[in-house]
Amino acid sequence: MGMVQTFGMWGRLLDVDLSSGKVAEMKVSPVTYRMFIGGRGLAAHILWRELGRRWREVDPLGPENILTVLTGPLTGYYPGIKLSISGKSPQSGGVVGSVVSSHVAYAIKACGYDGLVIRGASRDPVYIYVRDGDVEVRDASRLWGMRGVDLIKALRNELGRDAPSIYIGPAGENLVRTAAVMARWFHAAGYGGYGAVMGSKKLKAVVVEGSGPLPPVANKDEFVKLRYEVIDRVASRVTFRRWGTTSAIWRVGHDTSSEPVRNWQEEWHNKEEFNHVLIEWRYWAKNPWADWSCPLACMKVSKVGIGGVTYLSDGPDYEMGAYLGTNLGVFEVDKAIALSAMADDLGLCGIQTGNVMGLAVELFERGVLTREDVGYDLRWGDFEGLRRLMEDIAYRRGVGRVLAEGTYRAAVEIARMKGVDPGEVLKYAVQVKGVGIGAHGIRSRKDYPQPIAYAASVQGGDHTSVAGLPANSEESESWSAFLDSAVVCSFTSTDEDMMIRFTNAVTGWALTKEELYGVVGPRILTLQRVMLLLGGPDVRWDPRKHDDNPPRFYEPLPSGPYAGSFVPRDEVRKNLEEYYKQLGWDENGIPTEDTLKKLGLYDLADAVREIRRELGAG
Amino acid sequence: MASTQGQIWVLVDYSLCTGCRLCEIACSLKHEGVIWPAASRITVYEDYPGCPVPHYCVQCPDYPCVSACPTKALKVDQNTGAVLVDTSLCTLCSSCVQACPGRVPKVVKGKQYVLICDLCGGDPACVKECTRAGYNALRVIRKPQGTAIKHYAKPPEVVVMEVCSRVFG
Amino acid sequence: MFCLQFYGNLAHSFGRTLCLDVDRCVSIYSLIEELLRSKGEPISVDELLITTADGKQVEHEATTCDLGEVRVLRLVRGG
Repeated sequence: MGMVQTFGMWGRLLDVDLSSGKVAEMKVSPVTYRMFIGGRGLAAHILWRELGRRWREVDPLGPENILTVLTGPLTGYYPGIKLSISGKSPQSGGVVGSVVSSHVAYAIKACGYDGLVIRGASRDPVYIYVRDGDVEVRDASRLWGMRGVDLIKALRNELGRDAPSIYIGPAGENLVRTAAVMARWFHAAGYGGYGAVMGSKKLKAVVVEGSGPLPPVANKDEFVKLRYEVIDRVASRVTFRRWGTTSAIWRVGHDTSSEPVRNWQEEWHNKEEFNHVLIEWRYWAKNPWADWSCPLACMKVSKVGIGGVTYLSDGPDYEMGAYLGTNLGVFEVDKAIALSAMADDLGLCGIQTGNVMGLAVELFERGVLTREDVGYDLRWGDFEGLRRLMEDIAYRRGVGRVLAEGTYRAAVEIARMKGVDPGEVLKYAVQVKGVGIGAHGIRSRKDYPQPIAYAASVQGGDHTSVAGLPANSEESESWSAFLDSAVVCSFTSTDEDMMIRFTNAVTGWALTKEELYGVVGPRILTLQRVMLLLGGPDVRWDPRKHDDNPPRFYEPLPSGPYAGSFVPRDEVRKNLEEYYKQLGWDENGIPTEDTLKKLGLYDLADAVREIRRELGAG
Repeated sequence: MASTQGQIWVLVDYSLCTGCRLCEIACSLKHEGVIWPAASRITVYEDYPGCPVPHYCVQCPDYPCVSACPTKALKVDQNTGAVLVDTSLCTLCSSCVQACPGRVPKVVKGKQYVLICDLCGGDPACVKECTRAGYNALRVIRKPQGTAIKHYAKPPEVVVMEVCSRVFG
Repeated sequence: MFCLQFYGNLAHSFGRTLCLDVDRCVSIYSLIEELLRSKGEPISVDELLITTADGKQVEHEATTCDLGEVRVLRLVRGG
């Protein structure tokens, strides 16, 4: 029952308050969907509306923060699946539109809702159970403390069957800022650190079972036709299906020289072990493996045995293989797979955790961190030591207590501990605005991120949401914002024309490319940008300093076919200015009043004036 | 037992199944006109990562569901071999669900009759979709003679145990 | 005249626009693959999205006689 207000969506969210235990319905108007699309854009809108008045003061790990679990108009219809997870980020202090492949995305729509908005905090561990129209906040005290694999089994035993779920591991429970929101054993919404937000709410999992249909689409014949076209196109990506993103360990690392090696000191390797053909032969138990409604099937299940223990993981997918492999000097693939499996089980984002671990090993090598600080030695490629370090981070033990704060905060804290200027340690931190940079470097110019990719991103080092010129093209962060708001998997996405026609067929809208790049994309980015620059409570980014690459990215590459290559600072500066201009922001990347008016965001005017005033004074 | 001459059957290869559930989507689009996985006549179970098990009616040679139906709402389509539900006679009593070795027939909120694969009249949508995606885990073949095929109808958790332990130990 | 608009880091190697004199009907995808190989670029045409000026994916059978201009972008950004 209930009216369908926008085709493809139900127009309502579940609003769960874990402090009071009350469950309500939050309506979302068709105009809101039209303006913000859904997913990431809708999350930014809701978070600003609910928390904008005191954005700076809101503690991401406190009960005031709101966790959003949202779908978008393309969820369930466009082949492939992603679920949007957001809130105020414990990493950046802004809003990061993180995504994870999860059946919860279609299941919540099959319940008659477009998603959940979760507020407050429970005193005791709970999990949210949604079954069609019924919502229960259930006791999770028996589940608290469980790692991923055990948790999934326990949930299955409790419910009597396998049900779609998102969950956290011990890392999220311990408010580790590099903790992820997990799904299906190996999937993670890592960027933003929302695993810690769930942990702070004592929310172990959200389990959703929906037995209803998805909402009707506006133009069924067109939708069915386009859907077949997309399936045909995506199914023809045979090499991507065969080798997944695991192939990037060789392609990005060896061929384009853009993969982190030993905390980004290098970006090239020639470790034939990491060739995807060898990895396929030696480690893959299931290939290909797909997620819900996906005609690509780029995933794999890998299986390794080390010291009598069997580890199951994904491929490893590129980011895990890079960050827990080459980035840590681990050049034995089975060890990298094992570390990846451990990160998943602990509920840690492999990127953020691999990033801070890389920093720690480099600092140890340089004598900044000592055996006394850590309790043991940290060495590149030392599987036992790195395994121990990862556990220490997940459980906030020893030096893990500091590293659990994520690369930026850990660097600042270590500098304070050692009585040195923060810059002395930050120069080894490869992060932007609190978010460790994804495993795609910019120095060789042969991978996809442009020089301003991370410097100008509203999601910091997020490699899935890079900024680029021209702002009215797929190179722009507007395109990523759109994909994250429609909520589609970027790997099954295709050209602008098809994506827009598909969106219009489902929703009945008349969205155009011009509007996407000129209004909708900039609207979402501008909203995120303002919240990012407000930041707080413990971080405040100055665009003149922090809209930049980490210092290491200005060092020339020391090895590989593009040795000597680097990005000149003046090129970054010039591109930033041009990018800001194209988005309607001023020379410091602060949205102008005209832009706020044009985008229908005039309620941000006071915040923007405050930001501009502080910059003038500072 | 009647001859299965000309009847068809959907043969599954679990090792080729990727767990994508496109079959569920195709089935529900075909039969219900909307994407409605719960109403799909084929359901994919995946208790272990990378070991998906599609589960659906295998047209048991002895058709226990047909015999069990108290209102004679179920009958066999002699052309395809599929079980057909007379929607005007079904009372959702679930006798067929009990009689089926794998509890395949579905009772779904919003449907006034039990859901059982009808082989789409001879051209199964699930097979077409799986083929379209290039996974080829489902194929249409001539219905095999004999009772061996009843193993596929076993409860999904039993099939999962049998199939997945080989892959995962 | 057949022109290619390169986006992102590809423009760093090829320039924003590259126009070629093509005297016969050549497969667009093959042409691009040849260009990439000639420059020793560590990428293949399978990893690219080739679109028309309106942002529509170009068919694999298309030749330089069908279209006068294409856009060349990365297919996958991330992973």
